[in-house]
Amino acid sequence: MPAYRALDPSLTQPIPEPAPPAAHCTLRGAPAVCVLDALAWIEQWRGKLQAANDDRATAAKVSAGPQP
Amino acid sequence: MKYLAALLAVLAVAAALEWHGHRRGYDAGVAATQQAAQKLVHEASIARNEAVADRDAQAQTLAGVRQSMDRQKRALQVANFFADAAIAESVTLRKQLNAATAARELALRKTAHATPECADLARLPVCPAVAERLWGTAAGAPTDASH
Repeated sequence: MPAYRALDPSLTQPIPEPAPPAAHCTLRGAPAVCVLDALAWIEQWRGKLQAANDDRATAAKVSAGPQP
Repeated sequence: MKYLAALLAVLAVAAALEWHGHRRGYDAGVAATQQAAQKLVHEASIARNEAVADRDAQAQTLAGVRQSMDRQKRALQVANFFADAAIAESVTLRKQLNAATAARELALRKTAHATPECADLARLPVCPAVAERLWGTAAGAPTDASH
């Protein structure tokens, strides 16, 4: 019978999405998000995805117990 | 005199019979008592042996349960050790991941600024309709979302 322990809360808490980019451009006098900031936002999402996958891998290790 | 002798003889016979009966009844009682006592001792011995066997079996079962619990306890300790190691490794990886994400974002911005064809990206606004879809009304001007 394998031994388990409860997953660490850091592995089960929701991962917050990246904050919206700041509006550094203007459009007809109104503040607007620059395309470059929007593209950089994709990189932040990529980081969140990698963090989620890392948490999944860690959860698998914790659940699997000692590995040879 | 003749009657007296006969009476004495009858008395002697009666006394002998009385003594014989008494003696015989005593021996029989002793034998019966001994037999009953031996039977009780035998039954008590059987009960004792059964109790000892039950006790030994229960002790063996208890020892088995204790061994099983000890094994599980050790397994849980080992699992906790590896789980702690995995969590610690995850914390380190998360810091490296955050740094790598920031580095990628910075490299993207540098590349955009350093490449003439991309330079306009830093000045080009996202149209309000798309901005509202992505970030809500906080980004851009939703009233301009007519495209």
